[in-house]
Amino acid sequence: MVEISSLSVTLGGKALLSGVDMKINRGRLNILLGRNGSGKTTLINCLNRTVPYSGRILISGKDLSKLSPGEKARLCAFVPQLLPTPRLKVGELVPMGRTPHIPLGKRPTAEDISAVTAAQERMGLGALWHRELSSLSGGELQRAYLAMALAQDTELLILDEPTSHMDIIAAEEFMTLCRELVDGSGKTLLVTVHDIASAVRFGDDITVVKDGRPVFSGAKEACLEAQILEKTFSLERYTHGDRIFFCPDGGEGGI
Amino acid sequence: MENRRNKTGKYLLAGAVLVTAFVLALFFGGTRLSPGEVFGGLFGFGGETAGVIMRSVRLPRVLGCVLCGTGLSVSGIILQSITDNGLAGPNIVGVNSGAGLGAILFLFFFPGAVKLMPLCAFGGAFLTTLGVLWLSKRLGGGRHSVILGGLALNAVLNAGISFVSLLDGDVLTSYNYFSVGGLSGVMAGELAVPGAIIALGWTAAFLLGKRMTVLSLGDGVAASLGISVERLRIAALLCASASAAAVVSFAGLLGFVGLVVPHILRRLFGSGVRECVLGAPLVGGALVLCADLLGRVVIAPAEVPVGIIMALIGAPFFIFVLARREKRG
Repeated sequence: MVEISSLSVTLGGKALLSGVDMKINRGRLNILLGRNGSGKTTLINCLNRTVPYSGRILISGKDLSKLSPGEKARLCAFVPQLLPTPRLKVGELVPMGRTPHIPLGKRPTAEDISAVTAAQERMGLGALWHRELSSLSGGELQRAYLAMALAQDTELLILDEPTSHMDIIAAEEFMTLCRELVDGSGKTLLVTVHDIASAVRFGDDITVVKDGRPVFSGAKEACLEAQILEKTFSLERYTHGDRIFFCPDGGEGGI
Repeated sequence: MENRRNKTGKYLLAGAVLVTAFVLALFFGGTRLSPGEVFGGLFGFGGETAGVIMRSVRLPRVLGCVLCGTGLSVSGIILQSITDNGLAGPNIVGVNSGAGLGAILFLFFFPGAVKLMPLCAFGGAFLTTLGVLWLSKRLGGGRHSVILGGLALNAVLNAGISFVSLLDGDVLTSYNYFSVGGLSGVMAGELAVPGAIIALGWTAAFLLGKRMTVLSLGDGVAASLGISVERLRIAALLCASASAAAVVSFAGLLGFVGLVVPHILRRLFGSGVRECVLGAPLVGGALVLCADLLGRVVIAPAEVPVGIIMALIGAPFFIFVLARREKRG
């Protein structure tokens, strides 16, 4: 789905990403793991084309740098970490996801209305539809923005730390929703998270980023077998039933 | 469906208010005319005096009020949307001060050619907009940089205005009425070009309205939805400035309309830019018409310029908006 080769970003004389090579596989829940400042958000911003980069990014075989803004928006949707709350209602936000599909000056078609309705139902936003964005909780706001991304009807959805402002229950519910989007609707998701246990539980593929470079990119099983997470973040692994947990090893580790 | 019917009803009600204000403004003024004289003057079958008053004085003035309300409201809607700041208006981005400096410089160098002053005011406003665009790009190009650039230029231009007015007291006298803002003496011929610019600005704002609403989600989200953020911001700023500058060219530095009306429109029609632009001629036009009519009758036969009436309405409203922001924040 996405092929990234030799991706580098330098801002203010500092190398934020250096020679990144990675793939985001179609129909999988791809997790991007790394500490604060490791380059996860910079990589996401490259995919959203909001930072200048060198190297090549192909999305469905097309060079990202050569796509028009509309073409890019029809290929991938993006939900940022910090969610703005302008003076809008949920029912005004979600239809904005159809912007790349509606030419300037044209009215929404039946297909557009149908996509918005489907996104509303999928995210269970019926009761929130007439609420102001500023009145929503973190989890509700994240669902509203995810609904907008679903209405955009792209194959690839990129979510930047969607659970960072959620409590543990809400985060679990949200990641379950992401899992359902991949399994049920065939979407490809790229999600950045801090919670390693959540990444291991819900992800299919994991990319671990450290100091602007990926130290691992591949299937979760391979990542666990090679003990990448333990080595990269100085962690100890524990299992309880079918759940895997990680804790700092008492040294300078931890994420 | 119910929401749409509700909104349509509000547009119709606003339209009815505009038409009522329009008719009242034609019927009332400094000179008393009977209904027969009003109709006769308008349609050419009355006396000569009534004809002059209606066709050469009141009708152009009333049309000027609607154009004024439309242009400044559209400008305010766009600026408050692209900067995500409810206190933004044409004065914040330097349009008014640019127009003022253009006007006062012209009066200083060509005191006899007063008729050409509006053109210079328009030119000053437009050049200021280009300056704000350049400055905002230097300051990072985000939505807050537009306000910062506008504030910086505002300070410089206002200093320029004060300096020129100190050099020549006669210039100051001529500039004073222009700076308050008023529609006294506006003629039909003066409205053609500004009217066309305001109509174009309204059309552009209507077409770009949905995309401008998307900008309020921030540059990152707007870019992810396929918006060319920088291009749209430039187009929006040019549209806002052209609309405001066109108004300045015949009505002077009329304040508070661009600040007050967008808030009323959002209350009535929601936060969508397109929906507010649709209501701009109705609500903005009605407000300026009512303010101008009040100014004409309250101390008739003398007049209070509409700019003063708007300041008396607008200043308390401005304080109210500030207080509400403090309470929320």
